[in-house]
Amino acid sequence: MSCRIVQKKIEAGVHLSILAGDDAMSRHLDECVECSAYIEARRLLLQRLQWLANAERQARPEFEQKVLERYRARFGKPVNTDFALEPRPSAWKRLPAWVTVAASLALLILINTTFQEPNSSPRVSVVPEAAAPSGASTIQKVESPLDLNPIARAQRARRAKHHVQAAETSATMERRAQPLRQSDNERAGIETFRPLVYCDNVTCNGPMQVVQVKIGRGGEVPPLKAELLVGMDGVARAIRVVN
Amino acid sequence: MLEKDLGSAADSQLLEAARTGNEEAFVTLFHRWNAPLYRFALHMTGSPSFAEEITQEVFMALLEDRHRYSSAAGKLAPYLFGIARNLARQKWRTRSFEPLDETESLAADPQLHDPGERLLRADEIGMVQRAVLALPPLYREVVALCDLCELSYEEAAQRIGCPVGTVRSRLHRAHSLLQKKLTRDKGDDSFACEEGYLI
Repeated sequence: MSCRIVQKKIEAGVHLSILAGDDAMSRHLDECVECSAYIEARRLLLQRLQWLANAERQARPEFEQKVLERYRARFGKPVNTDFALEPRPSAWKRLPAWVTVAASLALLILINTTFQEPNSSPRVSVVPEAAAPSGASTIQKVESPLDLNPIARAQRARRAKHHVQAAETSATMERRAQPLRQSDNERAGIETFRPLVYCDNVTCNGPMQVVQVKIGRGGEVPPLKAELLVGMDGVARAIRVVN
Repeated sequence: MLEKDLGSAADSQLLEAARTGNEEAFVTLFHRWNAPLYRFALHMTGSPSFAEEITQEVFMALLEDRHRYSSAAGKLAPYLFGIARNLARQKWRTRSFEPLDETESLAADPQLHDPGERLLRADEIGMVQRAVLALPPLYREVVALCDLCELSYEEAAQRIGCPVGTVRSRLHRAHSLLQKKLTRDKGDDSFACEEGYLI
């Protein structure tokens, strides 16, 4: 066997173990230093490659999970967010900023429109107790509308405090005059006050004034005398006819 | 039927099921081909991160390219490794080389107790790896498949999609280049450039 044949066999990919089992090859390798060195170098190379093969590393443990998440995302399946996924923003956060601002403004306007006082006229009514002969002192129930404006709320609170003080003073005076008035009323046959209702469920407080009026009825009919129970805002709350 | 015999199902069956959203089929297919593809990609690029990326992209490409692969065209393995080879070539252009960790490299050989021997072995392994990475892709892939992934010539030929004789001749040529590289100068990386083998 010649050196050329040995190299041809190796070039053809014949495994070294097969070559080693060949008697003719063995004899040639014993005699030929060059071929022996060539085979030895090739054997050493394969050994080093084997070391490299054994030194291979595995993929990271989380690699499989990562691939699976991509698969799940591809088919729209629920994904385990414990690994390598950023937290998904809430539906509110995913809305454009202008939508959030517009919704907030709309809500604010709606609240203002709903709870704002429609006009300056008093949304008050006289509760049935207002018809009692005791007059203004019997008015007890007060309901203030919801006011979001803090300045207006403070002014309203000051006015309410003033009205309460005035009402207490008026009530004291009324209580003192009550026996006389009742007797006068009984003598004169004066009827009790009848409430004038402007708005349901809302009353006003504060002192009242009794205003005597004459209501013309035309022709020869004498005018009707009446007494109005007028609030501090100038609005009549109750009326009674005086014969 | 597929659910019962996922382990023994053919690749094409698993792939069809995975394409319709069957996660178990996909997992089975992944376990079957993950390690060979990762090893191949690692030896082709020398970078664990690139290897993971390539392996991942191969599986995603399988799902995306539903019109490109069919069982009638042949086995799945050549298709998988073909994608991996193309991706590895693309990645290789960036030349990001991450040498193997010595401790991990030597953990597989429990016979080495002497620290000096371990150091020498690690040095030689790193040298061989650099030499493999310096090979042209055609030769590098046969070395990766036959020597490093330990496939037979027939299996390598199937995965590359070429005749067995071509694998043999390429492997012989690759060994000659490696031998020349390793015996010329252990610390000199200029061999590949001189020979014009780099991409």
